[in-house]
Amino acid sequence: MAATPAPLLQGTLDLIVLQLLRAEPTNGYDLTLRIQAISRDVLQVNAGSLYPALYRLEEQGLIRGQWRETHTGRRAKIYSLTVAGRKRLADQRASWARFSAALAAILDTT
Amino acid sequence: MNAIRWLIFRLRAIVRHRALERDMQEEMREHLARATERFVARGMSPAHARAAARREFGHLTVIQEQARDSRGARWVDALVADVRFALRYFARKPLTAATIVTVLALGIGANSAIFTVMDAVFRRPAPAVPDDKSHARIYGLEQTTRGSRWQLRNFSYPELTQLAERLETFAEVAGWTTQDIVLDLADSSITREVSAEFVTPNFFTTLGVRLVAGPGLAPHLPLPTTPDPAAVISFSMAEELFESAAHAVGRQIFANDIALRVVGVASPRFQGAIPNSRRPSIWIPLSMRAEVGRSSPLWLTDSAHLSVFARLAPNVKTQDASAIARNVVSRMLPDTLARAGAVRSAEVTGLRAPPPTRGIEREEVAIAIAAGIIGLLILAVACTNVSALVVAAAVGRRHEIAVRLAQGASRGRLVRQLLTESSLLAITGGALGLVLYWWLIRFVASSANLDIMPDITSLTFTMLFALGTGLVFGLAPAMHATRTGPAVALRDSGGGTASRSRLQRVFVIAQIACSQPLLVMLALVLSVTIRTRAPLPPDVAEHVITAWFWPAAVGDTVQRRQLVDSLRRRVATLPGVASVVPEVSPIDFCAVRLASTGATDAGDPVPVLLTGAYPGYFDLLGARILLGRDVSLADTAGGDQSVVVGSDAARRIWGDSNPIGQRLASVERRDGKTDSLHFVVVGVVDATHPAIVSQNMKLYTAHGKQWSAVAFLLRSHGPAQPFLSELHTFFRGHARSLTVNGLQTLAMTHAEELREARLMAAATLGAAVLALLLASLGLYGVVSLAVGQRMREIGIRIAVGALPRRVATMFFSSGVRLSAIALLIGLPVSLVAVRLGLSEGVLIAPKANVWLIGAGTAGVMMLLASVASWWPARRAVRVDPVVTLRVD
Repeated sequence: MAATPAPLLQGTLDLIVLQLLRAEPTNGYDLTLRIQAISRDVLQVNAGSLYPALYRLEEQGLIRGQWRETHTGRRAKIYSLTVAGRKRLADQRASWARFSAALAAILDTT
Repeated sequence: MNAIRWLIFRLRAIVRHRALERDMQEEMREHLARATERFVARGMSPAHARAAARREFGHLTVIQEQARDSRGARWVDALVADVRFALRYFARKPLTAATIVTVLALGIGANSAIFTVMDAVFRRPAPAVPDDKSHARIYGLEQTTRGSRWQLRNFSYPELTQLAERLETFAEVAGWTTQDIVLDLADSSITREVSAEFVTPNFFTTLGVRLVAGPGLAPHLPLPTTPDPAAVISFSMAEELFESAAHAVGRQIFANDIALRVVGVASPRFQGAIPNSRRPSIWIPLSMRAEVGRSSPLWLTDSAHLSVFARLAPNVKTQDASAIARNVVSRMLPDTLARAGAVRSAEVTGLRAPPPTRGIEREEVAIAIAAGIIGLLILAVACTNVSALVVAAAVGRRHEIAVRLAQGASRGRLVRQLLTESSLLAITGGALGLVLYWWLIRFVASSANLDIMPDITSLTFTMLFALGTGLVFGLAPAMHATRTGPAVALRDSGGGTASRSRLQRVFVIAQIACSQPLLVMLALVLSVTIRTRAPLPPDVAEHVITAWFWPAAVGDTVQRRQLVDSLRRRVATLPGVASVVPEVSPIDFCAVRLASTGATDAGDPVPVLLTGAYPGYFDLLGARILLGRDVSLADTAGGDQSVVVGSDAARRIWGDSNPIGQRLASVERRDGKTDSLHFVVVGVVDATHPAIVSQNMKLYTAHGKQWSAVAFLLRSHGPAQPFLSELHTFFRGHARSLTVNGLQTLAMTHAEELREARLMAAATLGAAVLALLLASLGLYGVVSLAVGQRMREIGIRIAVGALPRRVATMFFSSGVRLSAIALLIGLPVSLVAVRLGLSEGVLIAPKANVWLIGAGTAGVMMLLASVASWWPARRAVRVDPVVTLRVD
């Protein structure tokens, strides 16, 4: 049974995109499917959020998009992480870890 | 993201705008295709699958807009749309757009040209001389007695060497003196008189000027004991004599019959250390001057003829260098006995800085100030003009702005729209201004024989100033109109109730007021030019010949005078010659007042030009002696100087009473000498006679025999023109040692002067027309826009029975009223400034009638203001109330 979709926390889309592209370069369509699959349908990112985010990250030099042929023989724009993107990902992961630990600590108080 | 990367992405967004757009479209299409396939695989029909994929994707157009926004390319589209909108607006209001562009172009072009010319004449290094901060001019100064005014003096050679020895201050010291010589090749094939500069051997190296050919002068100081017969010639002279610079080196030329070897050719633009209107054609070592200039070999030590400049040692300031130079010259012995007791000093300044005295040179500074003021005024008029027009245009669009606000356009969007329009106008005006600037610079350079290069600094300054004005004033009304809500804006913008901007009226008044001093000043210049250039009567123009000789070829003044005098006496015996007299020669400016009574009722000092004249001069030219007698040879010595005064000066000093026998005393001599001169009037000459009319009031005297030593006038019985060749032959036969510089009938001389005067008048007229054009365009624009804004009101007025002519008169009189207010503000200030300038001696036009000029300027201005207001006001007559009221 599919889980109830949860709204995406503000500012986390960039982190998600960077993390998934670090794991494997891919195109926009597959990225939406992958987010949905990995989060077990909890997170659903629509195209209206994803593409502006991809273009913004590309413009910031954090990811790079190149037209290639996929294994199915279709042409697709494959995004991959740049060196700057890797650095940004590390920073954002560290700050997310701090944030979630702090939040967990607050939620654990009785 | 740092600024550079931001910029790169923005630029990429512009440059790759289309490619990125294509990429996005293809990527999203691909996304939808894959999603459709997924749904089909789940068992949906293709049509349902496509619809499902679309639903899942979201609103395609909105997402694409968001994507464009995130890429920063959206503003390119917006800009294109804004430009299109602006162009449509200009097409609807072509006159407004054309007026603003014209005003900007005129303002930018004319003003930058004025500043460039000023810069070239007064500040920049001479053509082809490198801009070296260590270059400095050393001016010598002298007081004839302690406490009297400092006068400029040149240096003697010992002074120059003493200065050059102070190596800790002056890395190099060089000097030059100018003299005219006759240049020739060995076969006497190309004889010509040219201006020569006798220079120290280090002249070119100190200036840092490279020669285009040849090794140049052997650079050593002090001067060699044996003269060095070498010369560097100008590029044009090399081409003229030897066809090319390379062929000139090593060839022989003759300067006043002395053989010199060409050791170098200067670069094409080089004119010496200081730009010179008589461009030197040859530079000869100083050691050759005695021989070539036919002067005493002792001239180097005995007389102070050298203009001196230096290259300062590193880290030496001009103040410190001045102190050292002062110290050096004050300890030198006087070069002649006549100068014993005189106090000497020196001043080190920038190479092009004006001399540190108040003398005749002050006129140059006054011209510079006047030109600067004219430039600034034109800029002020152009800027207020543009402001007035832009504000008026924006006020007329308040309704449009209000409607767009009501439709939901953001304030930023509207401001950006108006900014785009202003920028487009500004860029077009700027581009046309640049073309005009280029043309003006070339025109001035060719007509005034000046070496001027376009100057980026003045052009940039003016352009930024004018464009900035356009942008700021284009923006201000937009900000104002969009500050309130759409409801308020709509209510206030109703065509009939449009409140006229007070700002507009202030701008119109400001620009007309600013153009007043400009017009008054230009009228002054014109009046001086016209007054002194009346046509000569034919009996003078066709019967009088002027002959003048190059003084260079003959030794000292006394020798020269004797030679010319003896020639004159021999010419007088020729058949057909009625009379021959030496030409007059200006002695000095001075201010005179009545000497017979006490100082209390002696009146204001009157500036006059004291002029040396020979008996018979007036008679030869047909200028009548109105009262008393001519000067006579008996007047040449004695205590008081007997003078013939011009009728203009007589009227100014004595009014209608008889001046004969009256005495005058000079108050102050321009050259700073404090000893007063005393004059007794023996005659009054008709100063309005075209042959002697001048912008200066004159006193003529034979005292001290100070008439011209190099020129004489000859009156023939018959027409003078055919007599010229006979005279040429006579001079060649009887005065071989004199070089004839000019032999012309007065008609010919006058034609040349007329040409120069016409050029001057044309330039002045051009500036005056520009000022008038700018002011009229501004007034026209503002009245025209006011009529446009108040169409509905005019419609109502006419509908309720007002006569159309009455309504038009209302607009006409409002335009004229504005001009009258501006005149009342601007004209008195300008006239007072001119009077002050005249009395202080900054402006020299003793006969100018300031009140007449003021009245004339006011008349012309009001006439133009009436036309500029009446033209657009006529539109009000043609308003059809039915049409106007229905449209609204």
